[in-house]
Amino acid sequence: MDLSGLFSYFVFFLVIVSVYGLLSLGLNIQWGYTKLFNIGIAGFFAVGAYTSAILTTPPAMDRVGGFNMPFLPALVIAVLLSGFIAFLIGIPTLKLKEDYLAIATIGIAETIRLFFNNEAWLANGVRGVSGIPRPFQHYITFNYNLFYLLLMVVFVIGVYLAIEKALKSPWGRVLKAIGEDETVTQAMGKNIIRYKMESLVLGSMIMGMAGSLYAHFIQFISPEVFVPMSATFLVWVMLIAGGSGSNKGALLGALVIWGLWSLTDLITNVVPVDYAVKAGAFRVIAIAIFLEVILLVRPQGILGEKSVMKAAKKQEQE
Amino acid sequence: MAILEVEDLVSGYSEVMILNGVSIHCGDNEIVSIIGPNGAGKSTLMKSIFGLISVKQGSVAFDGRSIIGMRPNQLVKLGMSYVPQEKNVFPSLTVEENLQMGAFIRNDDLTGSMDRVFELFPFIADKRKSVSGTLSGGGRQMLALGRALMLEPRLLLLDEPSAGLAPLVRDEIFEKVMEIQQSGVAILMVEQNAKKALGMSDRGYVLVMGKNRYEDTGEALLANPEVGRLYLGGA
Amino acid sequence: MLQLIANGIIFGSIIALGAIGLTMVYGILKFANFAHGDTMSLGAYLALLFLSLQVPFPIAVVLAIAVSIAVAILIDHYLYRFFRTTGPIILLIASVGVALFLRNVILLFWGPDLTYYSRAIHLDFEVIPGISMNSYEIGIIIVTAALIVLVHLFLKKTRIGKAMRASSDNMDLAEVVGIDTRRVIIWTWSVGTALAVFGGIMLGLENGLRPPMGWQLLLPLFAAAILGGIGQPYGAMVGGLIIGIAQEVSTGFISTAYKPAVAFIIMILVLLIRPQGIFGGSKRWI
Ligand SMILES: Nc1ncnc2c1ncn2[C@@H]1O[C@H](COP(=O)(O)OP(=O)(O)OP(=O)(O)O)[C@@H](O)[C@H]1O
Ligand SMILES: [Mg+2]
Repeated sequence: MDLSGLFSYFVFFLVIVSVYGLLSLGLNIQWGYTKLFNIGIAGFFAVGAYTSAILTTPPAMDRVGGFNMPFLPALVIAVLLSGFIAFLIGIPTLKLKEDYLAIATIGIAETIRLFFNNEAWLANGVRGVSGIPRPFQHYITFNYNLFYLLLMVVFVIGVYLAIEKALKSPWGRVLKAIGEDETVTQAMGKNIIRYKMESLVLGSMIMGMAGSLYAHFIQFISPEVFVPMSATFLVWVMLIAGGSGSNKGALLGALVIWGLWSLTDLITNVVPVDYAVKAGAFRVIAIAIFLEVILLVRPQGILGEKSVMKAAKKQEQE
Repeated sequence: MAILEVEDLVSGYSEVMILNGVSIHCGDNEIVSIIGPNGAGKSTLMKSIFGLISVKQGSVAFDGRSIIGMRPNQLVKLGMSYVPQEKNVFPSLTVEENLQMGAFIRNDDLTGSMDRVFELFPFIADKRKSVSGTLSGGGRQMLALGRALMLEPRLLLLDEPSAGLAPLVRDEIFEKVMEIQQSGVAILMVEQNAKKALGMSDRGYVLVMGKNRYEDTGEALLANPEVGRLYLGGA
Repeated sequence: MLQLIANGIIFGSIIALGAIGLTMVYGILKFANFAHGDTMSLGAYLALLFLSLQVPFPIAVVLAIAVSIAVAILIDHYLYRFFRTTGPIILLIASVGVALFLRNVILLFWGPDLTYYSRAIHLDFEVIPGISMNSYEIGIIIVTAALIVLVHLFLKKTRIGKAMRASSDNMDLAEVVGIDTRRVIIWTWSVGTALAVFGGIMLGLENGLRPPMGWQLLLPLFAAAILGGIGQPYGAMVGGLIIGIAQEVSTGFISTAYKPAVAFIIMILVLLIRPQGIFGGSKRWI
């Protein structure tokens, strides 16, 4: 790889890190602050991506849409739709024990994936949607990927600042308090379910945003992209490694874990094809062990606050 | 000789210490009551003795031998049983199964012990096949006592055996506790029904803010005007 | 229709066997074990391994169960044990990691392709008018019925079975009365894993083996456990059959690809209407 090849690889790498950074920030709102266990990240990511894909592509014969819609309005719709689905999931589950949300979110993610997989009329089924337009392409005279990276950075910083600001508001303090100690917050007379719902919806909207931005960058999506491993599990590892409860940690985790993941991908690519599957399996085994080791040795993550685990411990004792 | 000896006990939950130097003892075949206001740490004392929360300082000896750090399933083998304040039966198990669980560590035939329990509590004998969740409050308390007797302990720790019971049932429970004591079991009992408890006890302690404030015979505590005013609800 | 229901009973038997273990672990260790489906796969593949070593089928089953139980207990000892005081969600995350670990170990050793226990073809025959099955399928139903009776006797008649029910009611009290709760935990993993391995092998007999076979069953397993009232083995048995039948009957109307979604929708309906499950409510096991 020559220097410019390396540079463009690096730009591409950072765009994907930004996408994961958004997913991780979204999850941090849900898990890091309010202890909502969402393992259906892939589902919200998919909804965002497919919504944008269907809305912005030119009309197609064999499926719904496209509607040739501009980038930004489509993004807004994608975000809102992700939030709406989170809202629907929240209704039956938020008033129950935390595990039910986990089971329900994995269910919705799987159902969404099956739906896109099987309903060819909607989004071409397994073959996926291609030709998703690149936003502002006509205005960009320099390296487009570099432009997209700048766009992503704007989104990530925007979301980051917005979350940080929201968390400093009274609303954010209640949110944090719920994660620290639910019973105390309840005693304070706050309607916990409402705050949890807001946290679930907000986090999922950011995941939807990540999906939309991903689709516009890669220009092609298929149900394959939204399998639990790459879209859900990695995000969890990122957040836990980075430090749940810290937005900086969420972003750092995205960078570090995607870095490791890509590095092992490079290794997988150099082994002979016969071993590719095995090498791929080995990679997942390694990341699974990595997760368990973090949980055992440094459960608060690289940048996480210790108190998160303490709160969990305290809750358990009561 | 004291079957249980607690000295300068300090213990609590994670960082918060609830007991700050409690010293009590219970003689062989004595019945001893601990009374005190809500939140004084009475249940915490029972849990600390029974190894459910770790002790920070002080000593606890059973039969002259330190039992600090022992798990409940070791303590029951030594001859100590504990009836917690609440949730003290397995609601989905039948009465008989609850009693069997009380003798989990025993491999031999349980019919003898079980018959003795049923003899003491004819009320639950009639319901031996019923699921215990359907029992009345009094029935549940009898079952919990019965379960604790299955290993024929020498010391019984009772945390508010009469809590939440109707006056008639309450008196019956107290009678049973007396009967148990007369059969040769030492009893250390926490009670809200302070007058009644002290009336039947050999000795008593008043526990306040994690320390034992008064210690005397049951009668003497009942007669103590200060204790009466502060902890027995007036004259 | 009759045939679909029969298929549902077969598939439901497999789900029920998996769901009983899932619900037991939930009841006693208080966490949703996301690795339970992959435990089923592990057992199925271990049986394949022993079969390939020319071990007779029944012995291969026993060996697969023994090894799987050992794996489950080791994982509990070296991993889950440390999270018992940190609450159910950390355990849940850890179990997701274990699920991925197991599935990819299988992938590493056996590869991604569909494999079968045997190449022999078992013909369907008409059992009663309108319903045909092959000999495997009849075997699945009989073995499941036998296992359910055994589980029932175990929980009702044996000391450790009763102690498991007691621990599920109230772990702290179990400790207080002198039950050896560590033994209860080992037994919980053993019984749950053994049933899961039976289920996994049956699934392998019915559909062949693929590494994600158990993971893909996770949704129906949870749906069955929740439908029956989580923590309640008897509920899980009935829940498994209901989910199995619902999934198969649904194929008469919609694409078979949606089977997991059918389980999911039933689960959501249960959560909305009766979150404690059909047998829940009084926190009983029956
Ligand atoms: N699991 C726990 N974790 C933290 N603090 C606890 C716990 N259980 C009790 N406490 C606190 O310890 C103190 C003493 O409680 P304890 O139950 O020993 O009181 P008690 O004298 O038995 O009162 P009561 O008459 O209400 O039964 C209380 O302030 C209580 O809030
Ligand atoms: Mg108390």
